[in-house]
Amino acid sequence: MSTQTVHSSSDGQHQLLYPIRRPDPSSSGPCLEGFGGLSTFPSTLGQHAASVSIQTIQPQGPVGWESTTVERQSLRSPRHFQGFGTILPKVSYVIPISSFAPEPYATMIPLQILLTPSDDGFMASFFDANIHSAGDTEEEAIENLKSLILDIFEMLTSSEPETLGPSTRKQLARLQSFIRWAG
Amino acid sequence: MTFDQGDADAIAKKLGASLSQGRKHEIATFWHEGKQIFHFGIRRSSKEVPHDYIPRQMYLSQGECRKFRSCTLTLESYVQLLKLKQIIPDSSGEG
Repeated sequence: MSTQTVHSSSDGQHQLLYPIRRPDPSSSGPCLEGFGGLSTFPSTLGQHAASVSIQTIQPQGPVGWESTTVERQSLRSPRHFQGFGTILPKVSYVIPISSFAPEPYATMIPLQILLTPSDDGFMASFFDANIHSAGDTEEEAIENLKSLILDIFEMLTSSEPETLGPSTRKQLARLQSFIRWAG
Repeated sequence: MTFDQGDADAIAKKLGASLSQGRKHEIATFWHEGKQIFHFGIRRSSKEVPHDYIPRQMYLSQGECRKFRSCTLTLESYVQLLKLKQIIPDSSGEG
């Protein structure tokens, strides 16, 4: 009963994403929740080694997001993942965005996007800059969020600095640490 | 669906938000005392699309945002709430 989601990126690579839940061996609690695992493969899935990380995710301040890697493991093939955690459908998971192509922007570090299933589709959140969007499918939610991130980035960078409040100043600083003009 | 496009429009109107056209969204910007406080995107579609992310953009819970939408939370009270959360600086000069 495993599920996986494959997203194609513009450079021909695939990101193989697993929503997971796993018992926490370090406590008597039932399990770790709210983390995602991912591995990246060249286009021939399963042919190459990859790594998977488990992360705990916590809101950090009014505009913020803290992700802590609690375990990392190299995998020789996707099936080895079966022993790494229980793969569950319908849980939130994290997707890295490393490209805005064909838009003339580049990422300096991947943006960590949280995808949350809902009754009507998916919500995509970039908590680092408090930007959120939604879509009927995972792909649509991600594309909508990417376009909104660039819309807000352009609005903020073209604004007079004195018109930015504390939250939007912080938002712009966060965005500038992830995104740069590459035109 | 907790918030739809109609809710998003009503919230933007109540906020007095400025609207500008983005790539896939209309961008609503909430201003207070000449400062941009936050933005949220309103998706335009022929079918109903969820806007359940708006409370997060407004630094509100779903319940608080529903109260704002249904007018039991006034704009003035909302601004006070943002000041308490230090999203808006309190310029009253007190303290």
